[in-house]
Formats: sequence, C-alpha cells, structure tokens
Amino acid sequence: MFKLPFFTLSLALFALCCQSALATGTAAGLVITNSVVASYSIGAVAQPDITSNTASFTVDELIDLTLTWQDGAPVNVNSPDINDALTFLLTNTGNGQEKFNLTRNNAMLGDNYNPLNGTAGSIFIENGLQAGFQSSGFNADTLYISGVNEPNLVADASVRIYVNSDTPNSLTNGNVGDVQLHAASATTGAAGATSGTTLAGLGTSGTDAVVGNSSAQVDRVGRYIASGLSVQVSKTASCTPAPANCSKAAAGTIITYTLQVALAGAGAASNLIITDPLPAELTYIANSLKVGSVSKTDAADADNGQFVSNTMTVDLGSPIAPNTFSITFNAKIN
Amino acid sequence: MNYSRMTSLLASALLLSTLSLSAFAAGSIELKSIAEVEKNTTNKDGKKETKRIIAKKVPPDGIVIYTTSFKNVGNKPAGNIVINNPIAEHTEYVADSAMGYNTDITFSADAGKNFASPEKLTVTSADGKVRPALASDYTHIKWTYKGELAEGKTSEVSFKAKVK
Repeated sequence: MFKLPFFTLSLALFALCCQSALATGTAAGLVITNSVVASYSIGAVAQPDITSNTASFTVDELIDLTLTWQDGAPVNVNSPDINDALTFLLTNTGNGQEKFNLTRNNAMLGDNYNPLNGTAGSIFIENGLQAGFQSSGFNADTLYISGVNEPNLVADASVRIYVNSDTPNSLTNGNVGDVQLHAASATTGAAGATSGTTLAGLGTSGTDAVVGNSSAQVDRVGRYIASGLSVQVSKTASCTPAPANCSKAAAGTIITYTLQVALAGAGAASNLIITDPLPAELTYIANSLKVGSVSKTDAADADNGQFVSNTMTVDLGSPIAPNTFSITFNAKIN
Repeated sequence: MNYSRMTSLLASALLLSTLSLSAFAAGSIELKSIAEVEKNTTNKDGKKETKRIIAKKVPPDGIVIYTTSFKNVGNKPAGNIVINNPIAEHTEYVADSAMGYNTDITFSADAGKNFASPEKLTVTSADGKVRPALASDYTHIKWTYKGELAEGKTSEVSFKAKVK
C-alpha cells in the first residue's frame, strides 16, 4: 500500500505531514518501500523511463515511555489518614502497543516518614468513568494487579496512575512522605537495557523491539505532606471584681469568658460553628458577645453571633488554616 | 560441414536473444535500488568496525542508506541519464547525504514539480509565505549524470534517509 505510483505521491505526502507531526514515530510493523525512476537517451533518442526494483524494510518497535508526577505540590494528608492518592501520568512514547509493569517504593530516603500501602489498594489505574481518584463506589478506579491488568497502551496513549496510601498517626504538620512509582516495559529483557538494545522478534506484530532512550523504565517520586487541619478551642475566664482565678467568685461577680479558636495545619475548616451553653448558675449579660472586637447582637439574625436559649453560638464559616479567632462574652454569677 | 555458415547462424541467434532480452528489460539501463543500515560490530581482532548490512528492520530515528546502481547493459553509450528517487513516506532526507560521481544533484520540495539545488529551494506555505526548504521538506532527489555512460559501465548514486 505504500508503493505509490509516482504521480500520486504529492497527495500522499500532504497526508503524511500532519500525521507525523502528532505521532511519536512511524508505527511499528509498517513496511517502507523505495523505488527509483530513471530516464535516458540512446544516441539522442529519448528512451522509455525505467523503474528499479523495490527496496523495502519493516519499522521496528521502539520501546519508550514517560512518567510524570501530576500533583504539582505535595498532597495534603491528615495523620492518621487512609486512601490518599498521588497522581502520575504514564505515556507510551514508543511506536507500538506496549504493556507496562508498575511497582511502588515507600521507603524513600530524604523524607520524614514512609507512607503505607493504601487500605483500598496500593496502585490504581484511571478507568475513565470519573476524573480523579475514586478508591471505592460505582466509579471506583481499577485496582492494579501485577500480571493481570498492566496498562496496555497503544503508541502515544497515556493513562493516569494513582498511588494510593495510608498515613501513619502521630506525624507533625509539615512532615513529608515520598513514594516512588516505577513503570517498566513488560517486554522480556527490555526494562533497564541499554538504549539501542535489540530484542529479536519481541516487538509489535513480530518486529524486533529496540530499547529507547528511557531504557524502557522510568522512576518518578511523588510526595505527601502531613497538614492535617486541627481546631483547638480554649476557654479562659476573668472576673470583675477579680479574686484569684475567679475560683471563689461571689454572687454578682461578672465573669468575662474568652474562647480562643485556633486552626492549625493547612486547608479550610468547613462550617466551623462554636457553641457554649451557659450553666444555670450564670446569667448572660445581654449584648456582651463579641467576635474579635466586633459586637454581635443576641438575636438569631444576619450577623454570625447569637445568644439564644441560654446558648452562645458563633458561626465562623469556612476559615482557612492557620488562623485564630477570639470570642468573648460576659455572664453574672447568680 | 560449412563452419562459417554455422557460426553466422549462431551469431544471429545470439543477437536475437540479446535483442529480446533487452526488450524485456525495457531499455539499455538496469536500475537497482538497495536499502542498507550501518551496524557497529567488533571483528575477530577486537577492533570495532562499521559494516553495511541490508536493511530489513529499522527502528524510528534509524538511518537508512539508499544506493541506486545503474548499468548500461546496451551496446551503445547512454546519455541524458536522470535518476529520480522519491523520498519514501515516513522517512526524511538527511541533509548533505546525497552523493553521486559525475552527477548534478537537485532536490524537490513540491512533490517533484520543481527541482533546484538546496540553497535555491523554497517552500510556500498555505498562507503564501515563502521560506527556504529544510532537508525534511524534500520530497524527491534527482541526479543528472554528466555526459554519457559507456556500454557495460556501472555507476551509482546514494543518499541517507531517517525513519520518522
């Protein structure tokens, strides 16, 4: 099919220009042919053109791949936590269909802790049903099982690989944990071979396989960071008049309560609402509620503070850590 | 026995067979094209050698050397010999690789319509812009043999192409 008559070549070349711009290489197994035309004269008389034999060869399979870590920044995890994914992109940059084996290494040097293989499974392959990683449910991505479902990619095809990990407890915020993903050609003898190594007969459709610049394997590291969001609320009291620690406060003493709300780690705390019911021995001092230095009305209204049914409630919304808030109100000892 | 008559009969029979053969070969020039690759090997003395072997399987980015030999198998000198080699699909010409003893070499970047030397060759894009042609734009190579190729003589031309 590639031995084209001379006059149709221009069309063929136009078609080729755009195809080759996209493809990594000419497809493995393709037969490339060459044939030559000559014109000549004998004694100034032009003779009919002659055509040579056709010289042809087959394009071998080049085994090559790329692997990139896609998250762009360390993935936030809590401590402990389960089923958090690092996202990698595996691309077959060779010119024939190829299977790739995947392995992970949790024991990397230069980090603070070793992530653990995820509870739901250690490596997943994007199944295309729903973007991003799903460890379970209707659109759960495909659990990778070595020897069963290696990514089998045609030339230029890519697939997302999820390295799914659990996080040990007792980590300090800012601790990082690295995982290396290793992707390697499943063709016998390819992974780790010197670039240019020829594997006779092991290429696509019976061609030879030639190991590319990647040596048919790539390692890439992704990183987790323990940034678990924590909210701490501490409550202090001061009295007017002021006996020591308000511990022996007499009836009629005004107590100023201060609630310090501290967000540590990273990320946003969604719908953070602080409530504080008053015991029966105390009477709330009307309109004494403040968030920071801003007074809030007692009614359940547009502002984010209220004192209703003997309970103080402040809605802090979804603040981003790190952050602190101070809530104060006054009550009188009955 | 009339030996002289027999000889002349034989001679005419030989001539006839030659004529019919050359008619079958469609001319007095025989063209042969081969594709080869260079292979690095180590000889028995431990020295590294580069050998040319017939190309059977080539990976992408592999370089193929095409050689065309042309032989005058007729009984008269052949003139105005022009060898035209379209550059195969999925391959591209390797710059400065075309060779040929006693030939003028020109190239086409428009599917064989116009031929020129590399420094004069241009490509016109769809929007009408004209730029110098790159080796990868070449579609054909043409060797024009200077003078005549004597009967019985062989010459050859060659170039390199890279598999895309």
